[in-house]
Amino acid sequence: MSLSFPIKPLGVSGLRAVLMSLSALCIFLGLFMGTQGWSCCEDLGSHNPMIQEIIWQLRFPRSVGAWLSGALLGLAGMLAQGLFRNPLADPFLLGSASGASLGVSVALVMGLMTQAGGVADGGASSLWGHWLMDALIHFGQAFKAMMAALLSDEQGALLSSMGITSLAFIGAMLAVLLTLTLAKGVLHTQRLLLSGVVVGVILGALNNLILQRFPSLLGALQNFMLGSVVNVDEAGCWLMAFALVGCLGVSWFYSSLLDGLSLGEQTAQSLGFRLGLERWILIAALSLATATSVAQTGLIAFVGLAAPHLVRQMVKTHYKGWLELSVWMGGLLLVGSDLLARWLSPSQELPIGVLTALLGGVYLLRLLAKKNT
Amino acid sequence: MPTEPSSVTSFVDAGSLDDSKSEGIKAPHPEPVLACKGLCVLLDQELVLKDLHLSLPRATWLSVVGPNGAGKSTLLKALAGLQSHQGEVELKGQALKTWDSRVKAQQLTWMGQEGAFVDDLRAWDVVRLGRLPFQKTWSWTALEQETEIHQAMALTHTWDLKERVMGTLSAGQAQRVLLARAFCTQSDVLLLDEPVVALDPPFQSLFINWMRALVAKGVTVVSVLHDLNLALNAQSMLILNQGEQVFMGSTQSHELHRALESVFADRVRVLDLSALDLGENESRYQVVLKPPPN
Repeated sequence: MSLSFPIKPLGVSGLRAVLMSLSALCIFLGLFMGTQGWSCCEDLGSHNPMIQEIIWQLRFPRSVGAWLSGALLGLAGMLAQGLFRNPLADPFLLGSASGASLGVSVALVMGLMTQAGGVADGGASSLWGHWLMDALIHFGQAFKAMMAALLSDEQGALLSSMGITSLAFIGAMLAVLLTLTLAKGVLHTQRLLLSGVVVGVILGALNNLILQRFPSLLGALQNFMLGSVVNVDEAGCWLMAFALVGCLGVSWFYSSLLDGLSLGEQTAQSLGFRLGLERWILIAALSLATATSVAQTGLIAFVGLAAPHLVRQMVKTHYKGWLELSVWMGGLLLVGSDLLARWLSPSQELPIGVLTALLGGVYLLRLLAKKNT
Repeated sequence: MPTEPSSVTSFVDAGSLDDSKSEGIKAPHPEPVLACKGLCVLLDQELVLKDLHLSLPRATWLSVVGPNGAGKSTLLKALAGLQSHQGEVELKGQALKTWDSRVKAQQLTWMGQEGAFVDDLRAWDVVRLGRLPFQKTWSWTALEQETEIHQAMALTHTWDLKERVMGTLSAGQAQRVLLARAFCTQSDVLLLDEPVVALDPPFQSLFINWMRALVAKGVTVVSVLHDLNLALNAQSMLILNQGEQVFMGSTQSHELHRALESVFADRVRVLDLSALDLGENESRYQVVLKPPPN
C-alpha cells in the first residue's frame, strides 16, 4: 500500500489517538496564523486586548468551525457510502448541495431586494420569471418585516448572514425530501441515486435562472459554492457541535445496519433489520449532518469522499468504529486544509473549497489508478 | 491459533443449542418446521412460482433443482420472507409475516447470491454478521460471541483467513466465509442458494458432511444446487420447472431419477452405482451428461 501515512498498523484506538492529536495541533497552530502571516507565540501571551480578541473571537472559532464542519462531512460521507453500498458515494448525492445553493440564492435575492427597495437589475426577461421574482421579493420583505418586528436593530444587522445560513439549511433539507419523494421512499437504491441527480439538475437550473436575472449575486454565491470557513462564529460552532453529537449518536445506534447492508439489501433484511425504518433514520442523520455543515461553511468538496476512504484503508473494523474515525479524519482534513490555505496566502483569502477540491481530486485520481491495477 | 477440527463431529457436539431449543428437539415436533401452501409469486406480470405446496419436518435436507429460470431462487426468497407472494408460508406453524423480524432471523437463515460490497471487510467481520440477529438493541458493547463464530469458521476451514480482507480472498475462500456466516447463526432453518458454486471438490464433499451434521442437529436445510450429483446427496429433492413442481421425493427413488432425466430434456442420465463396492458415505447415484448426437 503506497499510503504515505505511517499509521497503517494502528488499530482503531491508535488511529483515533493520532487523528485527535493532529487535530488539536492544527487548531492550536491556527491560533497563530493571521493576515500578517505566521505570528509567533508571543501573540498568545500578549496583553493587547485587540490581539486577544482576534485570537479568541476570530481565529479560534474559525479553526474549531472548520474541524466541526469537516467532521460532519466525514460522518455524512461514511453514512452515504455504507447506506448506498457505493465507495464513490458522497454526502451531497441526495441533492443537498444544489438545494443549499438555491437557498443561498433566495436569501441573497431577498437581501438585495429589501436593501435596494426595489428591482435592482435589468428588465424582466419573461413573464413567469418576473412573477417568480416578485414573489421572492414580497416574501423577502415580509420576512424582513417580521424579523424586524421581533428583533432589535443590532440583531437586525446580523439578519442577512443568519438568513443565508438558515436558508441554506432549509434548502438542503428540502432538496433531500424532494429526492426521497421522487424515489418513493428509501428502499430502492438505484431510484434514490437517480432522483438525487435529477433533483440536483432541476434545482441547479432554478438557481441559474435566478442568477441570470440578478448577475450581481454571482460573486456572493460563488463564495458559498467554493466553501469558506471565514465567517463561522461561536453560535455556528455550537450548532455544528450539537448536530455532530446527535447525528453520531444516532448513527452509532444503527451502525449495525450498515454492517448488514454490506452483504446486500436482502441479506440485511434476512438478518432481521427493518430496512425501511432504519434506513430512514440513517438518511435523516446523513441529511442533517450535511445540511448543517453546508449551511455554515458552504459547499466543501471531497472531504466527505476522502475521509471515509482513508479511514477504510487504514483500519479494518466495522461501521461503529469507521463512523467515529471518519469524523476525526474529516475534521482533521478540513482544519488542516484551512491551515494550509491560510499559510499559502495569508493576506488574501484562498477559498478552502478550492484547496480541498484540488487535494481531493488528486487523491481520487490515485484511487482510480489503484483500482485499475 | 486454535486447531481446526478434523471432522464435523466437534461441531455437532460443541454446537449445543440453548436449553429451550434442545428440549424442543427431544420432543417430537408434530408440525412441520417450514411449510408453504399455494405459494405463487408474480414478477413483472409473469407467474414465476405456481401454486407450490411444501411441508418440511425438522432434521431434513431438501435440495431444489431445475433448469434455468425454474424459480428456485425465488422460492428460497419467498420462504425467507424476502419476496412478496400470494399463499401462505409458515415457520414453525406460525405465518411468516407475523414473526418479529429479529426473532425470525434467529430461527431462519437465508444465504443468497447477492453481489456483496464487502471487499473492505475482514473475513471475521463478515462471519460476525451472522450473529447480528442476537445483538441487543440497546447494547453499546461490541458483539462478542466468539464461540459460534470460531466454530463456524473452523468448520469451513476459514479460521486462518479471519484477518484477511475479503477483497484479497479467492472466490472459493470467500464462498466458505459466506457459508460460515450462514452457519454461525445456528438457526433451525437454513436456506442456501447456490452455496457451492466456487468450492473445489474436497470442499464440495465436505459440504455434504456439513449438511449431514446440521441435519443430525435437527436443522432443516433447503439448498438450491446446480450440481445434480451433489443434490442427490440430500434426503429429498424438489424438481422445479417453469415455476411448477415437477416432482418431489426421496433422492433414492427411481421415479425421481426418471423425472430428473426428463426435466433436463434427457440430456442427463442417473446411474445406479449400487453394484460397486462403495464406502458408506459415498453417493450411490451418479449423474452423467448425455450430449445429443451430432
